[in-house]
Amino acid sequence: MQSRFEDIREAGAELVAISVDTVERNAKVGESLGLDFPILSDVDTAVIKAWGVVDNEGGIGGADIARPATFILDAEGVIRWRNLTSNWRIRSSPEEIIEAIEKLPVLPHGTSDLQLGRMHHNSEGDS
Amino acid sequence: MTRISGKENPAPEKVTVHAADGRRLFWSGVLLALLSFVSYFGFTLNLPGSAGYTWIHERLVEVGAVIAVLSWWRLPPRFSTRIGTGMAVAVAALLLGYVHLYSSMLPSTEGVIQVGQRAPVFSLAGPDGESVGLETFLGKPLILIFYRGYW
Repeated sequence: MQSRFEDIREAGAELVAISVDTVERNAKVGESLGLDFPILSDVDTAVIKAWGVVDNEGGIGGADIARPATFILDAEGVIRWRNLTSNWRIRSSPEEIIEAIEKLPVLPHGTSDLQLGRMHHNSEGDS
Repeated sequence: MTRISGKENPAPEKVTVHAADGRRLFWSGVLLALLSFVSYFGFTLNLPGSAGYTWIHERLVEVGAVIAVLSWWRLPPRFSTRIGTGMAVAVAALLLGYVHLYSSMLPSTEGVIQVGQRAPVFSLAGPDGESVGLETFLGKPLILIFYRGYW
């Protein structure tokens, strides 16, 4: 993912990772892999539970950890794409993510509220 | 081969009548099982939400294995590959067991935030220890990756 980070930025998107590891461990991982995007710590698993991406007792010693998952949110915070790969060996490839971003409806500056409202009409109901 | 007892082959003369059928059926069963196994790992697992399709492959492997096992009894008793084909059936059973075991370890897609839903907000500590909220990243598309952790 890091290798295509520039392309993702160029596509106008931000990249953030979440794991249940501690801040220290995530900092170490980020440093050793040279990541330009942050890995946030969901130590108490509250966020992965809220997102429904918990792999119950999937971690070492039966700890709850996140299942590998990738979401693409639009500028408004609505989920536009997700990949819940069941095989941790095959994560979503940067290519398919970039492709998905490019397919997102573009929100030009000055987009009216009316347009936004229409765009998110479907999402309001189930959230 | 020569030690196969009459009890196991109650009607060998009938079996030979259907020899060709048995062989063809047997191999199509083996092929079906193998193809559904290979396509599961080679194709379906790459699909988003692949856990939902696992059962199709499991059923296909099962159907293939059942065909192979049933037709195995119709193979001619002196069919030189009989031992080999017996092993193939065993392999099919192993494949099925593996797919089943593998898929049973997959977390279900139930309860996962769906496309179209609003992202649940969060505020978490970044690598520098500072807490950052989801809203910090919005305003442009955001790719959010969940890692298993425990690197």
